[in-house]
Amino acid sequence: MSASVGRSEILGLYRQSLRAARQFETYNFRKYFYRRARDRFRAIGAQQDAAARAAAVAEAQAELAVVRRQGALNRMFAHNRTVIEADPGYAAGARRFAE
Amino acid sequence: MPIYLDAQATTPLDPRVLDAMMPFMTENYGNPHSRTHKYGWDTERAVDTAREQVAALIGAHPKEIVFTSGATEANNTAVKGVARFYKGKKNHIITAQTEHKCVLDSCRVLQEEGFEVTYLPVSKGGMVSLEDLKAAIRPTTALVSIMAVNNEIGVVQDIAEIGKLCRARRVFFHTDAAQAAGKIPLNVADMNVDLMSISGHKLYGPKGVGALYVRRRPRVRLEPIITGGGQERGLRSGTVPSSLVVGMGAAAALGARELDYDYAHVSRLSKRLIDGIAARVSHVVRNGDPEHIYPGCVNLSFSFVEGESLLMALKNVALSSGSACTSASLEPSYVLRALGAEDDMAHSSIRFGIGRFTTESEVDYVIDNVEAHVTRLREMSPLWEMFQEGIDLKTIQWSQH
Repeated sequence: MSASVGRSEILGLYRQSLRAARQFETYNFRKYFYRRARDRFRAIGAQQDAAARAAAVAEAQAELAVVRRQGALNRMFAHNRTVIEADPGYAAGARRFAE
Repeated sequence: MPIYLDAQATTPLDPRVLDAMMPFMTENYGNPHSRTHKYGWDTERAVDTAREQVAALIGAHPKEIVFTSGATEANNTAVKGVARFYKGKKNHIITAQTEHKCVLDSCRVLQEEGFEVTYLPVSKGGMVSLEDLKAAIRPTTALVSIMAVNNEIGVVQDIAEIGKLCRARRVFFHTDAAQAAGKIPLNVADMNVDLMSISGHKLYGPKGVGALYVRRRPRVRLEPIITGGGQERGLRSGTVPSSLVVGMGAAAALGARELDYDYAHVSRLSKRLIDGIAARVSHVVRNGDPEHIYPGCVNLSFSFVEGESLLMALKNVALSSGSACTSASLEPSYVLRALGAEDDMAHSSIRFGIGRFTTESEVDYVIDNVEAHVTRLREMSPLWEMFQEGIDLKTIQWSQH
């Protein structure tokens, strides 16, 4: 692991990214940014090359700032819930047909 | 709100794109063509960056990108512009029957101006045959226009092969990549594309902006449709809408960066949707050649169910039976007709568009709803009843009234 990006720093950034994603009121954006953060940090965890990892962390940092701003903006304008949120079974992903 | 499953009609504006646009909708309102003050310089720099981003998405040089009001204007400029510029020597255009309305209508206008147009037929899977194209090219052919990804059935044409053929025969090749840019890898150099149309709002960018790629070497010349201040190399006069263009640039950069990630996500959901429906509903046909298809566009025909009734029944899902442009008419899609689909199958088609923001739960919800409504509609259909009894519907003599 490179000296510039430590493990605890990455974990902190991951947690902040997930929290920022949850700020979106719009269902699809919330789900997307949550999924994107999860997959991005999984890839960072598996990345062996220090330079590539540093670049990915920098990208995650930049995206966190954007997601925070846009999450706040989104909350001001979003007002329509999708049908899927009204049905808790689907919203939680609990109601699935055979896997 | 219903679930959005119409990604071919338009895609939501990505919040990251909006974030790039915001400064140009608030503080940086300068005219990008103002050369005398900082407002203009700042906006011009942003427009240049956007031009680089769009160029990078398709492997072009920034100077080869012309911003337009959308893919429709880009298609019009390309088709009419090239044809009219080379009018003195050439008078023939080749396109396909499954093209978007704006290409077909531009060709119709040119026909009225005295051009000859060949509308290539497509195979049952929606593919244009290279043999047909080869046979159609004449010494007087000015332009071949074939779309990269079809908007109704998602069929991906073999652009590289068509480009190679056109280059060998010295004919300009235009491709409408509105549904392809940011979704599948595109490279104008490798694919020998001379002109390419891109739309902003189909790649999670803003509506009202598009781009036309015009090759510089060998140079493609065209007669502009809109004349005036000479912006965009004189090919598209009018003040460049800087905030929209910045949004399109950001969307293109994002599309290039997220292409593989989005493609994997869309493919996974597409497979889930198709497998889920196939497992639970019988007599469903997917339109388009499955070997050459963009997974985000799933066009299904449900036998013995009228497409429009199913659309009405699925009121909790935003879907369409074909392109948004013709969604008000009850006519069966001309694209499916060109594929040689029977009238009843063309009438019973529905297009499911999956995109970056579609979730797995939404797909499951849609599968549940499709199953319930198709079953219900079939139960009240006399045709379905007759089919169940083993009567071949094609043998029935319907009496005329």
